[in-house]
Amino acid sequence: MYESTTNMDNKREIVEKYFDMIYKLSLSQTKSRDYADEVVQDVFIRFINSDKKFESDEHIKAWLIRVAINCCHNMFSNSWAKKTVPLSEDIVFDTKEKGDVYYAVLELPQKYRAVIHLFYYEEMSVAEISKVLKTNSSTVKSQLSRARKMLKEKLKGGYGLV
Amino acid sequence: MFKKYYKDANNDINTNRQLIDNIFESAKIKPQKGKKIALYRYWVAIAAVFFVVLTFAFYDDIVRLNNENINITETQQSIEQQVTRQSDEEDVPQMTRLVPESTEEDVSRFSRNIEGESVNGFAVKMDNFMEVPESKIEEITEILMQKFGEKDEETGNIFIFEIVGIAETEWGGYYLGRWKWFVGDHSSLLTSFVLNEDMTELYECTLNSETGDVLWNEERNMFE
Repeated sequence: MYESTTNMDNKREIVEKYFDMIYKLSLSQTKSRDYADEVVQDVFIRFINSDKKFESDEHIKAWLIRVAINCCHNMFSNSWAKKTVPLSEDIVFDTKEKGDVYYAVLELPQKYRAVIHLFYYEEMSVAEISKVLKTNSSTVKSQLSRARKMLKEKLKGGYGLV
Repeated sequence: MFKKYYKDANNDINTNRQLIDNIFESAKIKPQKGKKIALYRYWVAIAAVFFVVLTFAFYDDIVRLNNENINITETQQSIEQQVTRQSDEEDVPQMTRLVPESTEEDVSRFSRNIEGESVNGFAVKMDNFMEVPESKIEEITEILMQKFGEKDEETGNIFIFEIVGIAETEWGGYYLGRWKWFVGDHSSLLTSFVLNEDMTELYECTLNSETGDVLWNEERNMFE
């Protein structure tokens, strides 16, 4: 059993460590700072209140990512939540390229945004992503491939996408 | 390049770290849903077991009640399913379901004068329609395709010929069929038809669900 999750100080360390990761993942999924705030709180409250025994740091990370994605998905399953959320206009980047790339990703379907974010930002491998999302690696590869194709069209073939 | 820009963009995003204190405060007061869910699952499991036990205990009664409610034979069900669908197009005759007519005879022939036109038809009870063997269906379909073609020349829509059943009358056997065509991704009814057993006469027909009549005009043999 991984000892670091047994007391509140250790849990705080873990929350501080993974907070940014979960926030940015949630933001890419929900496209809204308000929703991302809600998801992040939901994820970490569940973590704090969970009796689950984690085996390693990687296990915690995978669990948090999976819960975050599920929470984002559930958010849009609720009838009161908007199905289509406008892109976050308050995120301003200092270069046009960053803005183009970031907003192009936000225009992708939700499931493609997740794999793109985990692959390019979290630098997870296809195998790791498939393990976290509990899906086949061939599914992940196929989603990555389709996402890249869509991004290539949106970004007019630029930014070195293959 | 893409990866660099995407990483840089995400690194530029300020996260709302003030939430962390909020999270720990909320975690203290938020009820632990896990336990409630666990209890709920036990109750669901108990209810499921109870239901299964009841089912086994009253299995014979359930089967008996179920059989008493089944009135339609497999053949009737098959034929009903095939003739109940209605076309989307307004100018196609409305398809109605064949229902048993309250006549003493199973099949009777009649002539009617409908709007000054002599129309011959027969009334058939559901029981009288028998399934047509697959080989016969193929044979009939082949003949109809030779006669009318595989597709409409004007629209290019592909034809489908369905043989619903055969009714035996004292005047011979009559196949009842449906002539459809593919429009886009679905099939659409053009007309119902009757075809005599010799396959020398084919008439467009209409079905009347109230009376159980199949009506056609004998002066309009589509094979002539």
